Amino acid sequence: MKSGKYQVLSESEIRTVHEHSMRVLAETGIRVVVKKMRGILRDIGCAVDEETKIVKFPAHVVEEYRKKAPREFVMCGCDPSYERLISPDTRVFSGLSTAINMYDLETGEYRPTTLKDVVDHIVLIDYLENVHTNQMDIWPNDIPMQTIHVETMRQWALNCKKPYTLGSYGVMATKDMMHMLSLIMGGMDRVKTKHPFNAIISVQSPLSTAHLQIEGLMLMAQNGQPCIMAPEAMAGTTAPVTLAGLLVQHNAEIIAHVVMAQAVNAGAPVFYGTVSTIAEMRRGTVALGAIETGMISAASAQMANFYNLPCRAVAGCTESKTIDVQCGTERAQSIMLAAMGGANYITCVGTLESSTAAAHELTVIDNEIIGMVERALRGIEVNENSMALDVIKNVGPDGNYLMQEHTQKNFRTEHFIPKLADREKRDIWEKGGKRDMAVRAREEAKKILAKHKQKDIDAKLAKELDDFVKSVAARSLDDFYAAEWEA
Amino acid sequence: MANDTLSKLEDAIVEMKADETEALTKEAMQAGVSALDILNGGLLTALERVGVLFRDGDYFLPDVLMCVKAYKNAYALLDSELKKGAYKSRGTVMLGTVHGDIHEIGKNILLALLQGNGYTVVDIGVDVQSAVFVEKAKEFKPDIIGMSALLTTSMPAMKEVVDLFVKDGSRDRYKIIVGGAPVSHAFAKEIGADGYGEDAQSGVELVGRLLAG
Repeated sequence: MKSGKYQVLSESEIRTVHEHSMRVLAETGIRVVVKKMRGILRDIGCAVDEETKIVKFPAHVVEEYRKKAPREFVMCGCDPSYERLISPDTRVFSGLSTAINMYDLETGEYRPTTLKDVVDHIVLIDYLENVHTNQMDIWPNDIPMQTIHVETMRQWALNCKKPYTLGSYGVMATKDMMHMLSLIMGGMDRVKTKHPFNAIISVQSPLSTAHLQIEGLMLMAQNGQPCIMAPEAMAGTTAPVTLAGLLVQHNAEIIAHVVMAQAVNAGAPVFYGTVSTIAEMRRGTVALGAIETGMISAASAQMANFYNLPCRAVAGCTESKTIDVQCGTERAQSIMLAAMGGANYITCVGTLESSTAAAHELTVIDNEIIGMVERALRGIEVNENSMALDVIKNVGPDGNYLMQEHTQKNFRTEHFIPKLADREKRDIWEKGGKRDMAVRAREEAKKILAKHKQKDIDAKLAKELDDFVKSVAARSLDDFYAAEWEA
Repeated sequence: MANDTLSKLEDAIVEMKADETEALTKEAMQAGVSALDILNGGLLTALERVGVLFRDGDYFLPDVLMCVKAYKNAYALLDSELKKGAYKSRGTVMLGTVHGDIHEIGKNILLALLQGNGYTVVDIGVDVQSAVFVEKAKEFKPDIIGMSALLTTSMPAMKEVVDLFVKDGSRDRYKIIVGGAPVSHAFAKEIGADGYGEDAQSGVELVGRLLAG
């Protein structure tokens, strides 16, 4: 791309960060909290201390195994004809999780999220042209916790053609997800080359792992399904306060997880992920809306590129509690920086309050921000048609171009045409009720939801899904705990 | 067959196929459809559809102007026939940009849209001296006079034109409307104009309202 990428590291700095991360992996190591995983790592040549659960990764093992990860793979939807190539050269945008409260679209009330909110969010993303993959971005507080993974997957199958992503909730839940996936897609052999489902593996910074996440990673990798390795390291609390120090540590964490997936199943698709940012230094909390999030995302994209892996970055975040100027500026700058930095899978839609709250109008607004960012990155096309020499001659001094066929033929692709931004004269804006962008977005969201109809799925499949969700609901939480692997 | 041609003609206008509308109009005429029926059953129905597409945000100005171009190609063939019969223009509108201002995009858009809505339009150009508005009005006898300005510095010229019509004693013979970026409802009222349009589309609606009332 000739429009300049936003690059925060030089070539030699990328190499230095890599070398320092390799020293962290070899000298300090990572605590791996699942015994089975440690066994596999020992078998491939890592040094394992069973007492401390610390695994040290020799550089040659890291080099050998991280290279087994594919550079690119295809994600599809539950409609397999909906396809997106995931690679260091492409870019898709996705939802962002996980909100536990939201602003009600009708009343504006701030309240706990429900299954209906999950469904509405799935529907909105299905309709929005610039958001390419769906996620369980909203936590349904009103259904039993042990059914959340299967119920949301059922709603995905019923309401959306795009891919879906869930978190990792341990052995039994991940097996359930694979079973749901198999039902929805008509067999696991249908998801071997194209992947409609993806799991986020949260990394426990600094230099550790989370039990449920590693189990999820192992099962996903075993099944050949993509995982996003995603630390949310915070400079100043769970990572060094310096951004370079954070990069060294989080790069070591990500690469260790990539190696784990490849050790389980060579060639399993993975993302080099980042949700890392800085800590808020007055309180030690997270600052996802910070400008540094975009800088870390850009650096991560450069590191991912160095390893020939696609990069997933977080964006569109804000600490703001309302739909105000802070909310708008933080989400726009971070989406812009992540995209300009070269991130390939940008999760960025529909949240506020450090991504613990949601608002459907923001999902619609983010769709428009992404459209603008994509336009900027497409750059300026220079060719005979676009340079318009004949048209310039034809119109001449003091003429105007509005009535030229050239204008009509090209304006839709040359200009980004916003659906939500207001460009009317004051009189017209006043006549229309003086609505601001959030109000217009709310109306757009309601319009989309009103016209949506659930998919007409095969009755047999509907029953299979229903039966399976019921069988999961009949389990107790203890059943889930009993299925966990040894620590 | 004739109906099929009319609907093809209607589609060609809506789809901005300016090079097809002439042939389709000829085809309809040869099939014996009267000029008035072609106008009512193909051309005006097309413009109505274009209006809806514009209002719903699907069509933008360049689209509408291309539709009007396609419409005009068809209308040109019907004009002389229509004038022989009972058909009457919906009214005459005279448009000009006031003295001191050479901006004409807004005026030209309104002109095209008015033509596309069945009005006769006289364009007296840009940087028009105030007295010339009065002279030309006597010559063309428009129902409505529209003044355009883009510069705030040329707004006083609009008041001057209205005042000249009052002085001339002919103010009541015409409806005077104003438009342009710096102009507002309040300004129109202040200078004694009969109406103001925020943009070209509302200008067309304003003309319709003034002629009906």
